Amino acid sequence: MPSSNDYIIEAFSLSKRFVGITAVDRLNLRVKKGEIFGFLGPNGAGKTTTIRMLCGILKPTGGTARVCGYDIVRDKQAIKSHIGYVSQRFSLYEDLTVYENLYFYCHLYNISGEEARMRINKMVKLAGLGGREKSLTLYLSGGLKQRLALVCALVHNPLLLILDEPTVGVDPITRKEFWDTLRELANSGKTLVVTTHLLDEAYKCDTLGFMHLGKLIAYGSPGELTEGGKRTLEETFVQLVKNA
Amino acid sequence: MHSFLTILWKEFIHIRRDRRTVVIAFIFPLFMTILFGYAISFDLKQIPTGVVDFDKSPQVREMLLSLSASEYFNFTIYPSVKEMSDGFQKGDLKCGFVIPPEFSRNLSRKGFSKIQVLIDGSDANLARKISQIIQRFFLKSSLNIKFLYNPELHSRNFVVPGLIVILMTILGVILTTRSIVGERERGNFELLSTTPVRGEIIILGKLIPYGIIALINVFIITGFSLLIFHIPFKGSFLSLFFYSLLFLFPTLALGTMISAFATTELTAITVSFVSTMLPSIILSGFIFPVRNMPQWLQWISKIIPATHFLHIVRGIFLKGIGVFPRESLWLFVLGVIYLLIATQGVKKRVE
Repeated sequence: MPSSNDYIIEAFSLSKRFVGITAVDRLNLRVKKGEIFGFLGPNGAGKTTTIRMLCGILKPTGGTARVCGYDIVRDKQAIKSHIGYVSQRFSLYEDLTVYENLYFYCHLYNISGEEARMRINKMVKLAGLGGREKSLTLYLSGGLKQRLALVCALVHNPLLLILDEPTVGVDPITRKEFWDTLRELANSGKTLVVTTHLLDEAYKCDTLGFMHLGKLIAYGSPGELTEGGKRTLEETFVQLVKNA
Repeated sequence: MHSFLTILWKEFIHIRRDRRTVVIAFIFPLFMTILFGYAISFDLKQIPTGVVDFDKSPQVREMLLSLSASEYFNFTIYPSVKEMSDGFQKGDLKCGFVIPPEFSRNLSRKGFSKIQVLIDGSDANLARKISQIIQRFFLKSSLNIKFLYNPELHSRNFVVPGLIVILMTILGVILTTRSIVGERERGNFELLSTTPVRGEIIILGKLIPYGIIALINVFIITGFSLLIFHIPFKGSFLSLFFYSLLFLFPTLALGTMISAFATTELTAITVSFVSTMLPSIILSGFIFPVRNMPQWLQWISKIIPATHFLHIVRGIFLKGIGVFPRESLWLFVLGVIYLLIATQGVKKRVE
């Protein structure tokens, strides 16, 4: 059995009730260091709420969780400097250049001077944006915007990277390249939590968690969940939702 | 501090690269100043006035001569009342004097005499103004009215300083709500909230640049009014600067409050227009005196920051007053109230 130090996310009975609805219902969840964790589930299942609590933006109404070893309520500021977040809409400043976007995020994490310049150059290379530093983000293609959003979330060298449906509206080839980059990041020791609707992406994850109506109803590697390929993931999840 | 400066830096890039912001921030205020300074003048000069003189005495000529020297009246002599009526009908005349045959005789015998004055009442505001001017002239011998602070009663002297207040309100509220709601709509706030930067710092970093723009405008408009319109400026620039800074507090708080509740940029602009700009123009005393409003409206005018800042700006320009303890207290208290409401709204929104 791995010790608790092997987990970067540990949630115990984590709950969030809004007026009238329970968005997350006594969720227990563990994410191992260095893996790609796929967070699945239909819209409104509570994935985004869970992620917001894990990022320290939302306060849970019950239970606790530790992210990178910090309590999500008491040490939320500490968590924020160890995680990177890529939102669904990329949320880059389109009227800023590639360089300025990276510069902005460096300085938000208190990285400045020579150190900032070094990291920006590294990120530009990683995103394959060499030579485009001075282009306005507005003029980048969807795939490049996505890569820029990814490296903006990496400037401060976070332990954990959270990606909320990062491949919405991106073509299949760009998507494949993007997942190759994610795999490289995991190999270099980072942990990635990715929410997605696309089951072909789910197969690329090390561990999957499936949420439905605020509860985690399935957890395991794609192999475990499909019993070694007896069923497809799709069949598995349709069955799970029916039984729930 | 470092992250605050970073947000400021980013906001100034937004401002520089968005042509619409530059237009709202710098072209629009100048345009408004010119419009209000030149076109909208409530002063009357050269009122087209008809005269039917049945007396034809030197006294009448002397009276008309002294009246026309005031530049208020532009006289045309008509042979009969009928023809003068036609002049009113055609719109050539706004005012008419009928001088009775016994005018000079009564004047020398009794010491006073009567004339009939006709005023075109179809424009009620104009008619009231004309009647005021005429009463001022004909009572001058018995009453000696002296107007303090704005001796020529130029409405421009009154309106242009007030424009500073209105423009600061518009810039402070519109630009900040646009910027905050726009950033939220694009999902950037969500992303920023996952960074270690505190929410208050983000908001402050987005408010300050627009505060600076509003302050720059105070001095552009002031300079413009002094150089082009020769508006008197009796007070000190230092107190104008200080009170403008104080006025920014409730104004930016109001902007933050509106952006906390509005969901889209368009709603934000509409809400700020209806809830802030219209009341600031109509209820603050910018054009219509607050004293003449019903009591309940006077109370509403008190919760509009512009009302209090208007007292201050006119006091500085026309009276040379340096300290305004009552108005300062109002501005401060309103700022605190709006800020508290805004904070509650933001908290709700996060949930």
